[in-house]
Amino acid sequence: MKPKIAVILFPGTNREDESLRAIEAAGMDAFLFRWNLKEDITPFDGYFIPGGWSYEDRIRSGAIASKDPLMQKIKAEAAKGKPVIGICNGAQILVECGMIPGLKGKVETTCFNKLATVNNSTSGSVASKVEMALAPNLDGFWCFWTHLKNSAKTSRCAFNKLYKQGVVFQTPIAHGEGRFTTKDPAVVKQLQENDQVIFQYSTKSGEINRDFPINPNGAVLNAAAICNKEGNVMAMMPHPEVASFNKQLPYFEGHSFEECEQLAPAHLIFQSMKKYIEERKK
Amino acid sequence: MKQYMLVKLLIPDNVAITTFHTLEGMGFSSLKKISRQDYYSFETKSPGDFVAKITKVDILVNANKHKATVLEKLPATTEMDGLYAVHVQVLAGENDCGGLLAVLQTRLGFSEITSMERGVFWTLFLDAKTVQQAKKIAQEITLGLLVNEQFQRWEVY
Repeated sequence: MKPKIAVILFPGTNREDESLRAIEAAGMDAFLFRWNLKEDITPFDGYFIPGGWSYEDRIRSGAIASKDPLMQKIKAEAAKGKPVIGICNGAQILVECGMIPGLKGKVETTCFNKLATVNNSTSGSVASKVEMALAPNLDGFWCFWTHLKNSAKTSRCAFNKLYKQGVVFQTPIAHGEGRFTTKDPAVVKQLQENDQVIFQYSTKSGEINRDFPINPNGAVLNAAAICNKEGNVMAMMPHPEVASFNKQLPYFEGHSFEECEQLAPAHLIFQSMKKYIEERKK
Repeated sequence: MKQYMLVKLLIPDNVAITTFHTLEGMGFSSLKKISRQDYYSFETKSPGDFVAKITKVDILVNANKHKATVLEKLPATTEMDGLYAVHVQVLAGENDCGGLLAVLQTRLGFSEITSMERGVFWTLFLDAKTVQQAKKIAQEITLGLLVNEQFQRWEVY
């Protein structure tokens, strides 16, 4: 039986079609799951939060969606080990929700849980501090192709199981707020020690260079994708879902129709997700 | 001399409405109303007719939908109709006004501006027993939703 993946649609999401296609092409069943559906989300094997402008990026990118009750349910499913990938705006939601890389502070954020007794206040939930932000790019909005290097060990997370360490592939970016950043040097150290930076912006030959446009937004550690400690949740700013087929790659000319229809290297992210789910089920 | 300009929407503010409903859903029942204004602060060397000029800059104030107020001091918490109006200023951690300042100085003739900052100025209308309690709730709201401290800074007034 094929794994079932819920592709989450918030008001303002606009990458859902490409996301559905990428999941289907990996041999999984993809279902569009609207934020206001009353149906149970727990039967799904994994979750995909696509890009766009959820809630029109009101307050900050991903801020409102991160407080949506649906995210609390997805968080609970992630705690069971199910894979969750957030791309672009989906990544912003995961970071704002504290799923990537995590939360610090005494009180765990429980979106929409009323913790009226906390600090003897009359108010509701009290947030722990999120450990990172996806801050505005240093040079504004950019939309172009980047090279990504799989810097982490193979199988470090659910989404790089089929990548050899050091391999470089092409994926486009399209964002104005994609700079992974934190004020806390301990978080940076922890990301390095735990091998949580899965994909880094690099040159074509795999050199990690902080200069623009190699690092298009000024992200710390040239981070393009970061996973949680457990490795089942990943926030990624570039768009592998629109680089899933060879025909979508730049300069892919002079090839046969069959070659154009074949899956591109960026699609291994979704094939890795499938492999992870199948291994979990065994 | 430092001057502040707050720019308020005259049409319904969808951001403020969404923010209010999100905070309501988070359980902040003491929040009764919320409003939002664009915040600018300008350091000027010779104010002159600066106030009259800056409120007419259409990249900052669209006369069809905005109302601008220039102040020398930001408003403090006040009590209104049994509610505390607590103000929260949210700014980018690193000043991101370089491009805007260059446009004002070189293309729009505001050579008197030496530096500027921009952000959001929220006003939270809170049902609280004391001003201290109102400010404490405002702080929780700010940390819970209005700010990501990893790249933004904030202050409650």
